[in-house]
Amino acid sequence: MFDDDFLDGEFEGGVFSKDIDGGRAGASIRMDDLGLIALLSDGEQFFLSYSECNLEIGGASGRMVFCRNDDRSLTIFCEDKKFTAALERASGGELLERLEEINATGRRRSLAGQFGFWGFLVGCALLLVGGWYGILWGARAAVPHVPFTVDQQLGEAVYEQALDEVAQMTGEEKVTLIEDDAVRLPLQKLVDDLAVHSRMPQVKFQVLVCDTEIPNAVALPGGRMIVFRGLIDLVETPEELLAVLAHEMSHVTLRHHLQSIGESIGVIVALDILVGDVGGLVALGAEALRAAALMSKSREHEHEADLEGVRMLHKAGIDPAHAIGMLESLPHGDIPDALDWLSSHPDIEERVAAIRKLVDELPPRAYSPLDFDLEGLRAAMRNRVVPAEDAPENKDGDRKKVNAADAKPENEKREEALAK
Amino acid sequence: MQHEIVARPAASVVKLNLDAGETITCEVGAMLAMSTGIKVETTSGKKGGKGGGLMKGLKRMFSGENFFLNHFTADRAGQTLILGPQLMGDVVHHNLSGTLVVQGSSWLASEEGIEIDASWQGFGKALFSGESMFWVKCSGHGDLFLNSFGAIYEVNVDGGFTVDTGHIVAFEDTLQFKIGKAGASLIGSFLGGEGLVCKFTGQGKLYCQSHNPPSFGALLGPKLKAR
Repeated sequence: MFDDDFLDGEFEGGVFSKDIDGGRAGASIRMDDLGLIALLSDGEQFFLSYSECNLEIGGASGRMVFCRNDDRSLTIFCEDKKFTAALERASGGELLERLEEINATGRRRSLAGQFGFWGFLVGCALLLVGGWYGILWGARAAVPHVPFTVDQQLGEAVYEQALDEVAQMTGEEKVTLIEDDAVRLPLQKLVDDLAVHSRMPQVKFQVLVCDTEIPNAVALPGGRMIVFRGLIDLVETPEELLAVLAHEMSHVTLRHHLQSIGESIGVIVALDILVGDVGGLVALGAEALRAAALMSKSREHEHEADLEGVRMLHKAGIDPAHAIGMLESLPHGDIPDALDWLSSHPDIEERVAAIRKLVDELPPRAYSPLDFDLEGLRAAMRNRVVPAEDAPENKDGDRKKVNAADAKPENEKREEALAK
Repeated sequence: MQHEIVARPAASVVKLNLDAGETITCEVGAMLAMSTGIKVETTSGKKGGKGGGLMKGLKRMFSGENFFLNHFTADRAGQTLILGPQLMGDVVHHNLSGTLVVQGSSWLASEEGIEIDASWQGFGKALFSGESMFWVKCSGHGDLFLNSFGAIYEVNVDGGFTVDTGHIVAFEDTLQFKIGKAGASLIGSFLGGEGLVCKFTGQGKLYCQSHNPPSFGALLGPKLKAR
């Protein structure tokens, strides 16, 4: 009977009525000049005239429109976005005032939703940034209260892994430590003499030298340092070598390893609070702690170690400008893999600028050249005694003590001779 | 499809009797037992891998459900399928006609043709409702099975109704809820142990659960020995 009078098509919605089994049913909603018609799937129809229609907005989405009679015995509802516009046209202005209120409420909610969305995003960003800096601050604040014996125990725990990492860098199965006193003792004395000028003069540094071509030096928590043969070959002056050692010693005396671990623990705890169960992450975190103890170098830690190293050189009467010379002599731009120890460091120009600024601010004093025989050290390395187990087999298949030059494979010795 | 819910309310399972060709879609891991004449298909969307499964699967994951859905289809008449929830609690049948909004992890199974999607509940509700950030939105017509932690009770809301956070199982989309304080004053609400509550308005059916897992966990956790 309504077919000719239907306006604006059909809308998917529903009906609440005590006459329906269960009280509710889905319905197709149509409009004619007099009111709303809800057609149920079983063919039953419900009619609600515009004159007795009370409009409400709600539902889970907050956008559902409910049309109810006065005693609430019949409710026709719809969530279609075009429903209110169609109702406005079909009702001929009868529901205009209430529909305008509904539309205004919808616009206000939409605006509030957008504010809420962006507010939430900004809040999350602030929380993340604040949380991160809070963790960094907390780790730094906690470290001075932890006894240095913890650093030493940590260094002991990661020592073997550190050697494995060094071996991985060179692709060797096992790293070879140069235990010859003629090599190790001069470096140990160099470090000991500088250590008295550090902020923790009580720290006993132990220098180890590894037979690796990569120019590198690694400081482990507690005071153990691994100096790579490649670094001794690379530096041009003893002061440059000392500048690198001062930088690495500073990581130990500033207790950067423990700070890194504190930051990692802080991140895991924060994740645990935010996400809940992070069992898998904790396992990953345990591994991250070991990695942090060995290698982690944040930009801030690098800057601090640079500046502390400069202060130590200044106190020791060694011109700290050598640290600048060492950095400037390195190739700019892409740092090759061999200079891995620098790759996690901040931009070299930035570091040089920071060091130069500190050097300019330091009180003037007379610097003296470092009394250290770099060439003698290099010669000692070449002629060091290689333990029998590391020496190559002779033609009878035996091994015996030889010096390092003789221990080299024949092709390397030939290449060296040609180079000379 | 005929159903019977047994062992109510603490250890409820639903026993379904499927005719040839009838399909029921359920959450991963819900099947406890079944007859030999039932085929299982796993997809991230509709049966047969039809229609937008990837995004819906991801959204479902955010709502606390699994990325995948299992579809059980009877090869022949008179096949029995027994489904049960992971947590101890009740199972309820709802004859869906429209849309039901279900809290994450309370959707157990639904008849083929019912769309299972996820919808964002809004920031305020996400933070304070004690439920997942997304809800499972079931739309269509047919049988739907919900599960709870503890017993389920049904409320026909007409006007307003208040439920403690974490106790909502599902509600019809004609209902709206807001987070509010239980008492007149915020301090009084928290001192009274009720804190924030979900205040429903509108008309429609609401399912609530007698217990909620976070409160149970908080009570039990400290008594467990550390592993």
